[in-house]
Amino acid sequence: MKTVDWRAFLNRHLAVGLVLLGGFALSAVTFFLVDRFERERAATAFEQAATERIFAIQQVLNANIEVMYSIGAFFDSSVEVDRHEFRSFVSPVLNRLKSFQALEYAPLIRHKDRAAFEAKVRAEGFPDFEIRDIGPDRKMISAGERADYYPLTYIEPFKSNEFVHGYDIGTNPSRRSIFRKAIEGDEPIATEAITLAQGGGKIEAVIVSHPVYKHGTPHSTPQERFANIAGFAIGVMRVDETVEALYRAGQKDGPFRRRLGIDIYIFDRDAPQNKQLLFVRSSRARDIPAPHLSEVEAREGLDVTREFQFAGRNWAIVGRPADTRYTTGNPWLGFGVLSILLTFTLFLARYVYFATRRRELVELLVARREQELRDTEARTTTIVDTVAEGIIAIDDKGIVQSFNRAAESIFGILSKDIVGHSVNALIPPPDRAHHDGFIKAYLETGKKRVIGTRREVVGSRADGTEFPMEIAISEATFAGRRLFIGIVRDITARKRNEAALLRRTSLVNLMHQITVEANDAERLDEAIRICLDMVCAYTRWPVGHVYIRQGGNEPSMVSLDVWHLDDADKYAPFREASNAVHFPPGIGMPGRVMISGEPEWMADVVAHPNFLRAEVAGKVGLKTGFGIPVKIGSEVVAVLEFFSGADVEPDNLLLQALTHVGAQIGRVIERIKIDRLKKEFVSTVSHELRTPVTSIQGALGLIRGGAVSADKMQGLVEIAHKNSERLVRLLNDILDIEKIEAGKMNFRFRPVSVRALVDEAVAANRGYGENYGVDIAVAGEAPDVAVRGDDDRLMQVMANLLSNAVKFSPKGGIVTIRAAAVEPNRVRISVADQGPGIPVEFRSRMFGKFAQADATDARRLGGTGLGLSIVKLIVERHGGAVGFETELGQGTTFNVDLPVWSDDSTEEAGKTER
Amino acid sequence: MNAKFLERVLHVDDEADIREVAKLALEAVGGFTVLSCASADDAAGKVRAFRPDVILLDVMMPGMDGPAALKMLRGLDGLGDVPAIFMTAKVGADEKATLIAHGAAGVVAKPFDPMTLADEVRAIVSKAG
Repeated sequence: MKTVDWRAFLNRHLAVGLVLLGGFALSAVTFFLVDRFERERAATAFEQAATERIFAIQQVLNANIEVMYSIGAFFDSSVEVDRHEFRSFVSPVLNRLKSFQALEYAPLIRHKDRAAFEAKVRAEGFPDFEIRDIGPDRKMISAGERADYYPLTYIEPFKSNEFVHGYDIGTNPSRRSIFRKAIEGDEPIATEAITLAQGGGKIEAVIVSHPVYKHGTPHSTPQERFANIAGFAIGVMRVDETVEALYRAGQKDGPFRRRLGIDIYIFDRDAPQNKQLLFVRSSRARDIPAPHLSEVEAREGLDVTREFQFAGRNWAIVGRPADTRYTTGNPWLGFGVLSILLTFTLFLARYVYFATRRRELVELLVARREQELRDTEARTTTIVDTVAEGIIAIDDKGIVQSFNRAAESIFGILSKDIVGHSVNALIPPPDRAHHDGFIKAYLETGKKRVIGTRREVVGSRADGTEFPMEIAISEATFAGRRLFIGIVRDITARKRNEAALLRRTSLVNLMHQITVEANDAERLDEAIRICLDMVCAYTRWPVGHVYIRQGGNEPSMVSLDVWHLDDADKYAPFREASNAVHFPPGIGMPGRVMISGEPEWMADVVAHPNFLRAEVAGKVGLKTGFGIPVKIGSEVVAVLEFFSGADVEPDNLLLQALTHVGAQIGRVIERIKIDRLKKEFVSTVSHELRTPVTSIQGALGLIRGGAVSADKMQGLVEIAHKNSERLVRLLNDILDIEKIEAGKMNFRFRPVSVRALVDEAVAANRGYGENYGVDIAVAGEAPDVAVRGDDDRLMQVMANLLSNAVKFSPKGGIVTIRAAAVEPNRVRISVADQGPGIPVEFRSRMFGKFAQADATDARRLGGTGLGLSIVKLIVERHGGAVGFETELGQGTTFNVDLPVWSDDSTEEAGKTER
Repeated sequence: MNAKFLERVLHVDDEADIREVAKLALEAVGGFTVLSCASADDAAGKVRAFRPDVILLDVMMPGMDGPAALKMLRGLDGLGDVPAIFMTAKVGADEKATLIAHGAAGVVAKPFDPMTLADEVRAIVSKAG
């Protein structure tokens, strides 16, 4: 997860970072380029503007020189130029140009001519005129005597300049050198800037001197010029006025338009340093001192300097940017571009960020979708591969397109071996044509004969084995292709189960039928025959037979001669042989089943080592044998046997069914036995009741009919009385048995002292014994314990046993009663007589109802035949047991075992049991 | 056989009181001579000398029961065709038929009327005859 985040972070922020970096770099570069361009543009603009302005200034300065030339030419061309002519010539110039403070003419006057000259001028209307110098107090004084003079004679305009009228400008040595230079070069030569005498020392001007020669004299060479020099035309040129005039004139447009932002400096290189600056037009002029030329030159910058010759002097005009507009150009342009680019960069970065985010989100979504798709696919594949059903997709040509894992195991063929091949490999050869036909018919007619339905068909495995399968076909269109999808289930097991179920059902039906029919049967043989017939009809076994257990103590299996025989004649020898033989326990198949209680299967009865009838069975063609126990409880009371001539291997189901049949017959036998016992009981009761009644009715009938004499009559009355008593006892006993068996007799269990019980029993029955001449004695000492019992019922038990013992004892005999503790928590009360003992054949029926070994004896002795039954029932209800030991001629001892009263019994004390 | 020749009756019954009553009824009321026996074995020893005209047999007896006793008696000399009548307390139709099938002339139900027993015996014998 962490790495993914990092990568996403990098992806996202790298792009944004690059955009920002690139944007910033580009912005910076552009900024610098724009700035540089702007500076250059500004510089160029400045240069252009400055050059224009400087050029104009130079022109106007040059124009002043031209004025000097024209004045020179004017003098040159005239013989004599008088004051008026001079005035008329220069006045238009002065009017037009403000450049000149004055235009003057200073003739060369030799000292010898001085006076004449002064006189002449005075004559022209200037009486005070004289050649003068400037005195120490800056007042004009008459000039001293010199070889020659250059007095300012003509001065225009005169009015403001009259102060210098007559001033000898040749007194100044520097002026003299200028004059010389002007003559040498025959050109106007300027002075450095000088403070004018007029104007109070405030006006500075450059004096330009132009040589004037004597009319008509050659002046081609310097010598000629020196020789013929007549004077100098003087221009008092004011640089400031000259240039300011330009500014004034051109405020609106042109090189001098306002706010051009160009400072102009004019320098005179040839002047001493403090005199070099001729002109300043500067936005800073007021506050900042004008620079020196050297300073200007040392400066690196945009300054535009124009060097030129002005009247023999090296002048320089310097244009300097007045403000930053030319130094930096428009700084906002660069910053504007920068801000735009930065803004653009930020927007671009933002866009990239969001685009990246968006792409990331999209990628994430795509990745998620892809993952989901993969999951879905994997899930689908997993589902398809893990479903129990085979899933097979084929196209409309019958070519297998997909084959899942279940299909692989169903058909025993791997997906890779079948996909791309015809589905026919999975269909048994005879059915292939059908399959092709189905598809073709469907494609042609659109009738869905098999699609959408579930059918059972036969499939063919890779090894060629065939198996039943269920197939459901559905149709799907996938990527424009028609697919048929078959869901296949191997129903071999189901079919087998169905068959088993069918068989089970039929067996259950058989058992049900047998149960119903057998229950309806009134007689055992009939019930058994029905069973045999039904089982044989179902199994197609030809022989069915039953052996019944007979004999109480030494039982054996005896044929009941009830048979099912498909062919009586064929199997007659086997029948005879089977009827003839008895099987004691463990002997032969019936004997073995009698002991084991389990069904037995003999695969080959002929070869079986312990099948007694093997030889005859082989003769009649029997092969397989079954012995099925018929049980009542755990006792095998009969054995059903079946035989088949074929090899039959039974499965559990069949054996279970046969066992069930055996159990059913056991119940039938039990039922029939019970029915018989009931009938017998009723019949016996009826008989037993009728017997005393017969005597009573007979005796009374005779008496009533007067058929007997008086001496006989007493005997008859006695008979009637005796039998009526017997009848009462009988009825009581019958009712007791009925009550006990029906659970209607109330038992009130409480601790009963054994010693008291014995004593009371003896006391109660001693009289009865005396009637028979039999003594009842207690042997030993009864244990001092209590048993859990109902004392009335226990007394009844003791009375029955004692009276029986008395009745069967010879006269003078002794009946002995004893009580002793036996096994933990039990007390045995024994009643022993000295009678004849109980016959062997009667011993098993001792406790049966109306079971009397010798009815004659019993009746002679007044028994009902129910006494021991009652004893047994009562003792068993006490949780005890009754048994006997007997030996013929030696007497019989009855033992009654009763549970000792314990604390556990306490809860039941006083409780009534029903 | 004519009824008037019926004089001697062999009566076998394990019940002493019934033997007593039957003997009185047959002799005192019916004029028969009666040999009462408690069992078939008892009768077998005495019947040769007695030569009964009719045999009355109880059905339910310990040891040899009625039908068995009849079979045994019939096997004795002179008793092969003596008519026999069963006397029984079990008087269902099935039982009666079963007893007749054993070769008896008739069945007398217990309890019987001592005053008409002799007539009944005679009627059965004459009807059978």
